[in-house]
Amino acid sequence: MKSIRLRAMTLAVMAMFCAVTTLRAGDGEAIRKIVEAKAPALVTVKFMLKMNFPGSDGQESEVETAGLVISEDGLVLCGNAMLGGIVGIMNKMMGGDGGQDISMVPSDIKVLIGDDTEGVEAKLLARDSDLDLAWVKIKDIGDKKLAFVDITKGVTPQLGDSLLILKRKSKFFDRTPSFIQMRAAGVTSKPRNLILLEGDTGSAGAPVFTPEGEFAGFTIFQVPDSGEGDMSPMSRFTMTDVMFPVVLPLAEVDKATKNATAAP
Amino acid sequence: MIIPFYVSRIRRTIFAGLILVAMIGRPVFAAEDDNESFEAFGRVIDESRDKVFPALVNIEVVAMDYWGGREQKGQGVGSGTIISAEGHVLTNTHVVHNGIKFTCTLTDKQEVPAELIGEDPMTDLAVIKIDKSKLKDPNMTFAVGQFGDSDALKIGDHVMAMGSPFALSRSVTLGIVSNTERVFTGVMGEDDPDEFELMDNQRTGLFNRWIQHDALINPGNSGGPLVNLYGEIVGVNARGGGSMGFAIPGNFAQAIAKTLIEKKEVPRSYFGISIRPIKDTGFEEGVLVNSVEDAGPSHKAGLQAGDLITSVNGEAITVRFHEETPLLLRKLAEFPIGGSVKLAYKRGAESGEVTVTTEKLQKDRGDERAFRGWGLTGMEITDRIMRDWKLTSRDGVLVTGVRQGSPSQTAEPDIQYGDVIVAVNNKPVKTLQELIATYDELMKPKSLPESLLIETDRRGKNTITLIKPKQDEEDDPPREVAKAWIGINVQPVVKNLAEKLGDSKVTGFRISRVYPGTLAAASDLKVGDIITAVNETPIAPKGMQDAGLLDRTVRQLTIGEKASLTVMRGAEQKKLEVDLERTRINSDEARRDKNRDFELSVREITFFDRDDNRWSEDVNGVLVEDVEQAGWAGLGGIRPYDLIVKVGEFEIKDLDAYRNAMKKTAEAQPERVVMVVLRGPRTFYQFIEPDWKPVPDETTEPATP
Repeated sequence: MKSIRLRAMTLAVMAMFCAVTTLRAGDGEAIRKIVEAKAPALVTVKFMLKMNFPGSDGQESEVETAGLVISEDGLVLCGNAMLGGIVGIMNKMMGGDGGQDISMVPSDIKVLIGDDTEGVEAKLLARDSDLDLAWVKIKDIGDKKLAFVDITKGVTPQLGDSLLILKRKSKFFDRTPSFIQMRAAGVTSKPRNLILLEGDTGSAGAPVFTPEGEFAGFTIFQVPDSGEGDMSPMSRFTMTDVMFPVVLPLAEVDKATKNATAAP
Repeated sequence: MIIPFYVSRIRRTIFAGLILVAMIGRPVFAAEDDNESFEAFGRVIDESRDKVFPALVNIEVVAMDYWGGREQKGQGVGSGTIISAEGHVLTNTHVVHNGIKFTCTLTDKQEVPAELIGEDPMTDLAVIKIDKSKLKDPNMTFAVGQFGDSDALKIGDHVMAMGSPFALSRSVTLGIVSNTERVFTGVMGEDDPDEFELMDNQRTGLFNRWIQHDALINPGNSGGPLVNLYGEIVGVNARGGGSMGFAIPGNFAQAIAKTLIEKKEVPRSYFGISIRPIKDTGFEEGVLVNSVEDAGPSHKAGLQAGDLITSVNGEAITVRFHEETPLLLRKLAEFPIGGSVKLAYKRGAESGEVTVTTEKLQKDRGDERAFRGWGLTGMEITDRIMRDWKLTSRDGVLVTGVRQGSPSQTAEPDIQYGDVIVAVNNKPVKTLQELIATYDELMKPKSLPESLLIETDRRGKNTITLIKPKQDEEDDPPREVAKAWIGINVQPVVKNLAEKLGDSKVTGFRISRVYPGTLAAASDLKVGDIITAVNETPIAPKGMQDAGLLDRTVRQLTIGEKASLTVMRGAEQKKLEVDLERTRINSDEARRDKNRDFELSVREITFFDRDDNRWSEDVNGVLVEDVEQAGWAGLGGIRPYDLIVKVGEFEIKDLDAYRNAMKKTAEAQPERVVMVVLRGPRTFYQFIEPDWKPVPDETTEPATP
């Protein structure tokens, strides 16, 4: 009896191990395929950020942030906060014109595609502080057709769905494409339709895909409007919530992009 | 005093009265003497003050300093004394150092430009000269301060400090001499006179002792005279702290000033040794040689560290205490340059003598310049810098600062503080002047090179890099995507507030302001209305976390369309239509302009600027964001947040009008530019006097006014 039980247990453990092994192998392969397929559309946007505030005489620094090519003629979607839009966010939190005599102006914008380290010239087309999105347009792509992600097609994740957030690492890691896997931890319609994630993805401005490789949305930061946040030192709820990126679903991304590119 | 009880009452009364008279009488008698003394003393002060006061000047300096890889203009105030009929003014080096513009305010309040004649950082003394041609009466005779004998000063003597403490010109304080031979070595454990610096890498105070006194001095007093009760200059105030002041002795200062006027510098002999007093060494005579500089004159003559110098040209010398060090150093420095000086020494049990051929003492700190297009500042390498930085030669230019985000900082590899530039595009650079010439040649605005190969020495490692110079351009900030907006400000009305207002079900957004000049103002919306629905969709805030709900809802609508708002006005429900207009730009989106000549940054005014300041639609202009205090506009009184409404004859309607006005002004180059500004509710007329010498990219030698 004892030996049968032991044998059964051993077989059960082995079966579990095989199942786990099989699941992992399948996951890994699926993820590899998605990353390889989407990587060409993952770009790095490099620019000089000039911060002007009284007495500063303009402090400048070179910055890199992630971008996603969303049209073959070189329209790139980025996170607004990462592109110097933090002032707009501060204004939002403080209400109206937040009274900040600070401006952050990106210039010398270049888009690095693939292994390119020099970049092609681009310009900032528009930004949307509400949605934490910015659109950069490559100035002259010539006859080239860029790999891109079609943001008009995809799915809206549901609570519990597994998601892959893709972005390129920094130049220290050779800007290699990488992923984070998370689940949709919440769905909300306030302040707008958003998918909340179960953890921190690091910086915002990254495309989100399903395990099947369908476009699901874009990570952004969302902060309360003036008067909405509980800024009391003892309350951590609001500040903890807004510290991490959330996902703006593809429908919102698509609508915002149409607005931004149509605006005079 | 006790009156004995046994004296009769009358006698006691008389006696008490006499005592009282005596008591009252004594102070009256004593007060007269004291008053006379006070008055006499007062007269002495008045007279001595009046001998020097007319020669006292307030000096305003616009200086160009280098920091963070760029030039930084600054403004300072110091004091000085007119010491010649030609208008020479004696002051401190640290008052005038790096000055590009000097303005002296005379006793009759005239403000007159001056030029630098010479400065001597080793003693912190400098001479500038008033431009007589700019006086109201060019033939006027200057009041000239007379020097007294500072060697005759004693501890306890009364002295006055005159100058401009905290820029409050023409101030006098009174004190006494506390010490006539103050030095700062040996205090707080610092034994090396070389450690007392005027600024980085610049020694000072080697050749003099200081007159310490307690006539209160503060920043702004620097360069002003220390005056005795005979009305004679006995010192030049240069240092202070707490209740202590330190002046350079007048005899010494007068001699230095004379040399500066004649030669524009103070040439000195250099021996290449550092010495230390023999206190605590066990030696009874002489002075100890602490170190001998390699390849210096004493090294060549055979002197060694550890030797005890016992005589100079046959004259026995002993330096026992730190107070005696400056006297010997000055003696040595005053030998003729290139002359021979015999130094007798003891070396252990042996004695000997060396003959030192002196050389010229070089300046400690080299000239410094900014190379704006490259984003760095560079300094000439002097002997001292070479030693301090452990460089192997004086060739090259020391990088003293790199601007963040500049071509030098973003180069791969970057150029760093402490690097020595030795070549540009394979052309060797040996001196600062060579680098300036190379920079000028390469950096012509219309033909900027795409890249430059810069070779540096980084602590003994040869490094090359490529920098990509660029024009300093100002881009307009990017705009937000336009969204729909209603020109109102609202507050949420949550349940408990609604209840107080009469109906707990009427939650929504109460209008707190209807912005004038907007489409909302043209509609029927009023302050106090509570908006409960937009286009039939209820908007009910659950709490303050929904404070932005109405704005967000409106932003999702379409600009130009109408929105139907359901409002409660008191108990009455109304449906109001309002046209949706575009969101107004914020300050960070406003277009900007930076004028390098006037050193002034402005931006266009926004809707919210107007509303915050209650400016009507007919108020136009550009808002000052930033102004360099020591720049033309700053010196002319322009301040941040001023609204410039007029420049000369040009009305400023908007940013383009401002740009045009400034361009035309720069072309005309008038002597005076009047800017009319709105500061709060008041108008100010600010008169700017540009010298029309724009700061070049590389900011070479100080411009003489």
